[in-house]
Amino acid sequence: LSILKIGEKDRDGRQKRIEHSGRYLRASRTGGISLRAQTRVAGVNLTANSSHGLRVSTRLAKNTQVAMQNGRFVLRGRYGTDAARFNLSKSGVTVSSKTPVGSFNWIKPGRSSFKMGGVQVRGHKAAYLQAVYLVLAAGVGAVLFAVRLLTQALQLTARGVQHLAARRQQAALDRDRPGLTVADVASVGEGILAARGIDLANESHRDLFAALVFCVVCLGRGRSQFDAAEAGMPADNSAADQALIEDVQTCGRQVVQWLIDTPEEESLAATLGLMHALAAAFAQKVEGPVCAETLLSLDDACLAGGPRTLLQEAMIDMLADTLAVDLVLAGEQ
Amino acid sequence: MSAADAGGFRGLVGIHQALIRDPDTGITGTALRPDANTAPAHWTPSYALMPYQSVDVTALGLGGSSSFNDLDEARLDTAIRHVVAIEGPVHEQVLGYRLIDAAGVGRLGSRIHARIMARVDALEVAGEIEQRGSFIARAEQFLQPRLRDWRVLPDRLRQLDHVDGSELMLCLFHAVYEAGDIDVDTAMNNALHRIGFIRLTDNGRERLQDPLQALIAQGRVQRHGQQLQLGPSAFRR
Repeated sequence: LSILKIGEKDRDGRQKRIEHSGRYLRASRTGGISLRAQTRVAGVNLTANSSHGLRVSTRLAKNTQVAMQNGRFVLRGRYGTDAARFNLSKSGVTVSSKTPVGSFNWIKPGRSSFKMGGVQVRGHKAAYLQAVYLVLAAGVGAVLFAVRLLTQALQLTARGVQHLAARRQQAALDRDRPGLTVADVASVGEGILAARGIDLANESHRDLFAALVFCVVCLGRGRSQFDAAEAGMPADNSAADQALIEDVQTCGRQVVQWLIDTPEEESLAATLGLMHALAAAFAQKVEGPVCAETLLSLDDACLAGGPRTLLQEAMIDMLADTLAVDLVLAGEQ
Repeated sequence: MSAADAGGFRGLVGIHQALIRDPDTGITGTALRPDANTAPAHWTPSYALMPYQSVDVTALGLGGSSSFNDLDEARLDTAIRHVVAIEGPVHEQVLGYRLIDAAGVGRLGSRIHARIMARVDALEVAGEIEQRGSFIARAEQFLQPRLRDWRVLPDRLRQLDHVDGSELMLCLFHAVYEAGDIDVDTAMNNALHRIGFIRLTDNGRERLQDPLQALIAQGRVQRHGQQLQLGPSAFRR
């Protein structure tokens, strides 16, 4: 135990009142030194105090006590919560509220208390100090509230500006995007395959997948060869990475051959048409969740090589239709 | 989604691996992979574990003769081709058992064995089958063996000595593939356990040495001290 409770905290974490209170001896700044002894006889508490005389007390009900002290009748009760505590006495009922520095009695301010640094003050002086505290706390609260309000206003403004900028950027992207739909390109892709007598239904899902990756990751960036480093794959390729690289390179070479005779003005439709045909054949061979996972993974792979190109944006949009994946953008319901 | 929180190629690699492990059957197209239908030029792994498929000896057409040596060569050749097609790579002892069972002969004697091996030699000269040590198979069966569960066979046939080295390579490859990073002894144990041999004996360790070296030489598996991982050419087709 520390001397005079210095350094000890009460249940609210504040310094306890600085005093000494032992089993028989109590010494405090205002109460001075007093000796005290207490015993219980037939359910009644008997207390002898060198400063306050003899006291006989008992519990009347929960939180209610009656006592006789030096021939004077005492009635005490205390009910309710910290925010509004009702105090019962012979003279009536008062209401007090707990504050971080003590308690304030709303009916009889003279019964307030104030404690700071272990020094406890009671009476009107405490009420004044409580009032000063309340004014200061209100001031600080008002300033904090104003700062919070200002921060939120700034955040809202910034978000609005970002939203406007994003909408303008999206509008610009939409203007520049190849305005081709599945209906526009499907026949072009089928025509290329038919001219070569190719039926993609006869190809393995592994090869269709690799060719699809080639279309989106490579052709989507205007490249005709798959280079793992350029595409954004890590330098320390694992065996699984290497397998994908080899498949994409092998199947990619065939896709490039199919496109080689395409006239320049049709190259965009031809690329998208082939990609659509590959994706449609792939979707016939795998389950729906694999299609969805493929679309999301293709999107991730596009970003590994830098920001998506307009063609890659168009490809991802088109693949969502071909693979029958219902994309819901974040924030949409 | 920003580049920072994107998974890069991780997702694609994962899907690709799943497709490799679950190959679709009956593929005839060569548009995306011109060499898809040609026989593999080197040992290539397969991925599906299947029960050991035994030949139906009653379908071999060797019954009705009073003696095995009375069987004409054409019937014997057809039966050998059929057994090899179903069970290759097949050990010459297992081939012998299949043929005598089909012919209703009780014991695989040295004269019968010699006659069978003479026909095997003739078929090999004709380019129909290959012999590697005691094992007989079509060339592509040595290069792309099936991962077979030998538990279904009777004890007489379920011998580790009856499993060809190419098949041991495959079960060892799968043990490393499944684990990612595994010590040699555990890999050997898992490999044999996978195909139905529950005890890793000294003989088993010895038999797996050559398949392991072959896998390492091909870059399918790499070894760092006592640890094995998949090599850069693990999935090469």
